[in-house]
Amino acid sequence: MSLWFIAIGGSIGALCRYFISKLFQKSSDRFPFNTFSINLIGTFLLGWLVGHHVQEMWMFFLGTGFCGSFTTFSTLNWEIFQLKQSQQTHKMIYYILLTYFLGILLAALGYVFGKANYL
Amino acid sequence: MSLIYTFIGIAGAIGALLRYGIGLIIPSTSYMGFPVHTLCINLLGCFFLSWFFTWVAEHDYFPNWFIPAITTGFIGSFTTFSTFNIEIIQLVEKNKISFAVTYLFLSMGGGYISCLTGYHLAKKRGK
Repeated sequence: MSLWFIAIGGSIGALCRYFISKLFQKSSDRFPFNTFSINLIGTFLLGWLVGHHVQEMWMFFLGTGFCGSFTTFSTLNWEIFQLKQSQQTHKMIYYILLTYFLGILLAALGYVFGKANYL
Repeated sequence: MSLIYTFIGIAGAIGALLRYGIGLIIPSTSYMGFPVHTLCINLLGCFFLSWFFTWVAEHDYFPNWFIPAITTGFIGSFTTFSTFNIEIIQLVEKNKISFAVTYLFLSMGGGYISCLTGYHLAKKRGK
């Protein structure tokens, strides 16, 4: 049963990421806002779920399934690599620093909010 | 068009299940709580995505759903940024600061090196 929750959550997460990436079309000279915002939203949500100690089935569906699939590490690194390849080093450094710094910050914030039953 | 959605959905489910399966094979309790499983998943995914994108750029006879299903669907779902961050928070909470910092830098540097390796491997094969 838990496998179904993960599978359904995972496909919804992947599709949401696809829709958002279609919503704001990429252009090579712009900051990769799609992946950036997707990763931060998903990280905050997972932080909240873990902090709140939601039921196991919700964790499978929303945590491992949805948040895990919605956020992506591979696309992030591919974009970093692409920025380096096109010699947009400044943009690449901003992207790395902002993603990792805000990622950890939002995970902590979500975690604390979830623990405090806030939101 | 709807075929693209169907295949991204299916591939996303497979990616999530595979990620869960690897988490079961390499439990988080082994390696003194260092999240080896997520690190392996993320670096493997970076390597494969970079390899695939580079390889596919030189072969353009795929149906339109194939590339988004593999990249956005399967590899995108397989790797995860949210779990990575939560694991850092949990390591900090358990006062394993050196683990958290090591994990952060191994993921950052390893992700880039994995992309680089995948890229060069695909370039070599493509010639």
